[in-house]
Amino acid sequence: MLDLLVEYARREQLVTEPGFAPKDVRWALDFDANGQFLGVLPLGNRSDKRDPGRRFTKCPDLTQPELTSGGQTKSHFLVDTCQVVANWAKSGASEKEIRDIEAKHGYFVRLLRDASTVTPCLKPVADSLADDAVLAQIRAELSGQKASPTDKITIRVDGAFPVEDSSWHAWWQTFRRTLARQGTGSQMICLATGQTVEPARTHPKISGLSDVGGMGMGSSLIGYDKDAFQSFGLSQSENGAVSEEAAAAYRAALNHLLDRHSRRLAEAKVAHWFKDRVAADEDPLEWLESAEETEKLTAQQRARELLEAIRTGQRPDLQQNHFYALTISGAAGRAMVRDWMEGQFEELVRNINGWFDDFSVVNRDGTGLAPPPKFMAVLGSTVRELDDLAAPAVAALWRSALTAGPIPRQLVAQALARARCDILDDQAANHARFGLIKAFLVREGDTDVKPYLNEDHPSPAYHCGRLMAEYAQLQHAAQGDVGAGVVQRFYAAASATPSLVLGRLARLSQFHLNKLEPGRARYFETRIADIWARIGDRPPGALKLEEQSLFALGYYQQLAADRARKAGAAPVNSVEEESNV
Amino acid sequence: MTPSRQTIEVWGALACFTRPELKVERFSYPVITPSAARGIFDAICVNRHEYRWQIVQIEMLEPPRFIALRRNEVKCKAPTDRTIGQWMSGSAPPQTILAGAGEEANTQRQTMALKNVRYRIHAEVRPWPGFEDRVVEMEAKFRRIAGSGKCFYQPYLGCREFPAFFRLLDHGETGPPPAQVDARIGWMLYDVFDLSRPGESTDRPFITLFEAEVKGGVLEVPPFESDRVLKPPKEGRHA
Repeated sequence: MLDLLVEYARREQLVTEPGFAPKDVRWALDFDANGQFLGVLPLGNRSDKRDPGRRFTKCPDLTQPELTSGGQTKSHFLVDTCQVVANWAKSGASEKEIRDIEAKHGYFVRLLRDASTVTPCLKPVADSLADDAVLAQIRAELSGQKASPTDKITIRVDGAFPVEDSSWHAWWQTFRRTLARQGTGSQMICLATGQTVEPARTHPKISGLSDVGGMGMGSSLIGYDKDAFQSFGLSQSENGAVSEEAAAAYRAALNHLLDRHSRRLAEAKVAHWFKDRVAADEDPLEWLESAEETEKLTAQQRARELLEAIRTGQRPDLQQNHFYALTISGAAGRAMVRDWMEGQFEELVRNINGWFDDFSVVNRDGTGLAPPPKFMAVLGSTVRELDDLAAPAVAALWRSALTAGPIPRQLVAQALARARCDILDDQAANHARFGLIKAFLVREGDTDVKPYLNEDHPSPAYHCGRLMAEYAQLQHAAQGDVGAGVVQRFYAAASATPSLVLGRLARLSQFHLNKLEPGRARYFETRIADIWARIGDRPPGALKLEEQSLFALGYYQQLAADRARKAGAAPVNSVEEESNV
Repeated sequence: MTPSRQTIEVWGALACFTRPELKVERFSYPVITPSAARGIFDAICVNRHEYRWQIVQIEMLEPPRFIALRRNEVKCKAPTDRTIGQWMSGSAPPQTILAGAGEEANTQRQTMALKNVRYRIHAEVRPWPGFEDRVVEMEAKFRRIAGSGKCFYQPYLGCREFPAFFRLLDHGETGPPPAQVDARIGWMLYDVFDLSRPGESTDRPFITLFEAEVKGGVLEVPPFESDRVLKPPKEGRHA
């Protein structure tokens, strides 16, 4: 995993040199060549509150151990927060906080002075930032422009940003080495590169996980800061030996992936990439989350076309390509890998195509296939609120989509419960939910489950569901809307223990049949008798999860077929027929 | 005397062969590591002064299936033997380490473990110098113990809380074919100790890696002496 991240950083030409990192900066203090303060420049789109500002790709960066080394309060160089650069404490700050910010500001100015030996333009800026009158002017202007004390800010001198200059890079590396010991002093094999290295003592933090359990200041992927995390007498990061350079590279790769190529799924983020770059419109994982449902059909067609092109040798570039997918979340200061998958690109396209196939189910009106659901819609169909989603279950479903693996039973149980609620409340059936139930059955090996009603399905549970739908139709035909009908009163019990309920429904149905015209009564009698014949001697007792799923699907597909029949259209019974609709 | 291949089938409900880089929030390799496999043979029968086990091949009989566990664990370790001795003798009051929610030492940690694993592991005896002529005796003792289902201590699948069960295969017995799994694992832990000499309980760790790839459900394990096993310099701190 680490070796692939290091390779990704190299391919994307990310900044992997220790001591540097890309940073987003919202403001700049503008000075002329003599250090005269000219004003505060906004670097981003001010109208967008979430706009991070301008990205500088190679900013000086200190790790937490470097910042705290020697017991001295320190600041970053060239880029820091407004409160540090302008000595601008928040209103209501305590005495200690004010002293702390003063010390950091003093250190910021000191670094500018020290670096002016190699970058002379910084000297007059340092003098200005040490002047209380100039600082007061800067603070007033920052306040006027509604900057936040925690926003990042840099300096511009004579129209140029020193942070983009390389004249101070060598000085900076020399300076860093004076702060803290970078290595452990031992020689070990690097887990990322396989080379003999001195392992980094601590690793840089990953950003971008604050919305999935991580901390704003970053989370450590590799860190052994507690006694119990260390083994065999190894100290700190010797427990997972990685060189400082490789650590900087995997951090840069992860930050880049989380920023540019990840999506949030409940309490986790999923990032993916390919061994060789793939055009955005050929990325199969994007098809799972197409914006419009109408595009989804195109997505499946594209999957089939791409698969065909790979199989027939038209796309040898994709034939050799591989995919990598990482699911990650934060646990306070630590980053937590929840899943890792890799495989051939062709296999991924095949699995995504299979996902669409397995989720295809008749729409609630029985007139064709429901549009394939978005991945998030499938997850959403299993819970009342998206916040109720459990991260492990989400990761498991993501794995299921990418590897054609089984659908997590926990999600199916939740989907059945939600389906039961909807049926009892007389709500419209959710296509994504029944797609999930059908996909679960298909991936459990049930080859008789079809997108449409299958009257020849061998499972009595499936026909019990169909029977429930027929009894409901019969009651509606006999009595119209009655409020709490047989569905509201008996569906929950019938879907778990049909043998206790269906006999009673059979007796009730006689009263309903007596109220119908003889012709219609005979019609219902024939259909009900036909389904009873498929159930066998007696309905099953208690249903397992698979059978409950079959019951729900039988109920849904029977209703869809009946609706289509009522609307005058012949119910579609196979995928082949559907394609001609 | 050339050692003959000894094969056992190993299985268990849960396993975690932790990647060293992800050992805090544990994440398992998809397949058992050579060191964990060696540990299973050691648990059944070994005499560390006379020989060691060399794992030569691992067959995955089930595809890897991950399961997420989250448990309350502790941040600190048990104190030194001397302190524990004082507690036992009553000269100092014992101090408990509590892992429950809200306790000071508590930390909640994730484990991405494997479930329902089953492997066929092939290994050979590697006698230390001076014991080369006793290979037949070593192998016979192992087969006698393993064949009757005995072991010196319960083998485990990466973590001691995940017990391993085993069955000795007769010579020539093939068993079911491996699962059709292909996986490029990358740099994988080979072993934590120096296998080039008899080990002592006071040995410092000597962490070795190799580039692992599962092809058709089979992981070929190079011998420890091979150049394919990357070793840190012996003059280093952990030699």
